[in-house]
Amino acid sequence: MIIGAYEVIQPDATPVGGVLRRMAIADPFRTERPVGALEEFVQRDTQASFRVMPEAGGEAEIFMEPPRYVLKHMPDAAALVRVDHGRRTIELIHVFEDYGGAGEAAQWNEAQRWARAALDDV
Amino acid sequence: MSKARSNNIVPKAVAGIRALRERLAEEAPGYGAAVRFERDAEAFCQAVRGELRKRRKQKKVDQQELGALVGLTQSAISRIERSEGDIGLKSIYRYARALGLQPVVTFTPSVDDLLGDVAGEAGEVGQLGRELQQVADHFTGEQAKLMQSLSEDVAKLIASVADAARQARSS
Repeated sequence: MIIGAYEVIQPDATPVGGVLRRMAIADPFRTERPVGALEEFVQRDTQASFRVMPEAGGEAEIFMEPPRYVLKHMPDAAALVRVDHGRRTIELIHVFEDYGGAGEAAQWNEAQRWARAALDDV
Repeated sequence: MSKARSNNIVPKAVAGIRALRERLAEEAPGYGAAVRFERDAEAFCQAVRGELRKRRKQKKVDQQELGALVGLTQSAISRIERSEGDIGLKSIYRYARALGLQPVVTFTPSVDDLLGDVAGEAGEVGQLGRELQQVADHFTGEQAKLMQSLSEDVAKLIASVADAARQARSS
């Protein structure tokens, strides 16, 4: 599904916004990578993106940018994003400052917990 | 390149991500600099892709023929020429050699650094000029004091000559 016409909800006063602001000061290049990945994400069909949950897609979906299969081998900052097709919104729900590497399996479980909670919250 | 981008129409979602960037850059100037740096890096990759495309066309080789020369499909060649993001050095090498070209790597000081050096030297010249002006101002002041002193001495001399003349006439 193409989501270019959806609204991006700004994370100003949310915990995610706080993490992003702190990262932007401490490590600007690392911050820009998931933001840049999100810019590409909103321009492509969601079928081509990495979905965290639900597996078959639905009214709301959670994606990971950059995709997990890249981060597994190249640890970096990553964003979990909720796409709500009903409300036509795109919202950052969590930012991993350093995803991937040796602890990736535990982080993947955490990502799924975030995704489940974000879907329950719709 | 997407159709929307080629028409310079920014989709709402892209505008939203750019607004997020701007908000972060307002609070973290270093982030704004990182965004510009990454944009320049992307522009550099696009310039290299454009150069490869231009050279292929100059040689009058189509994408299919070039792909056959380097063992890639036409769509892979198209991606090299049109995609966004990083471009592999091996891709550049294979592409160039297939066109009978030899890639050469050269690094030069960046324009920003050169401008910074020029600005630094201009600053030094400016400082030297200010110091020279201070010296000139100093001497101008001393010259004025000297002229004042001389004027006073000459005035005293004229007065004493006038006194002497009056005394001579009265006697």
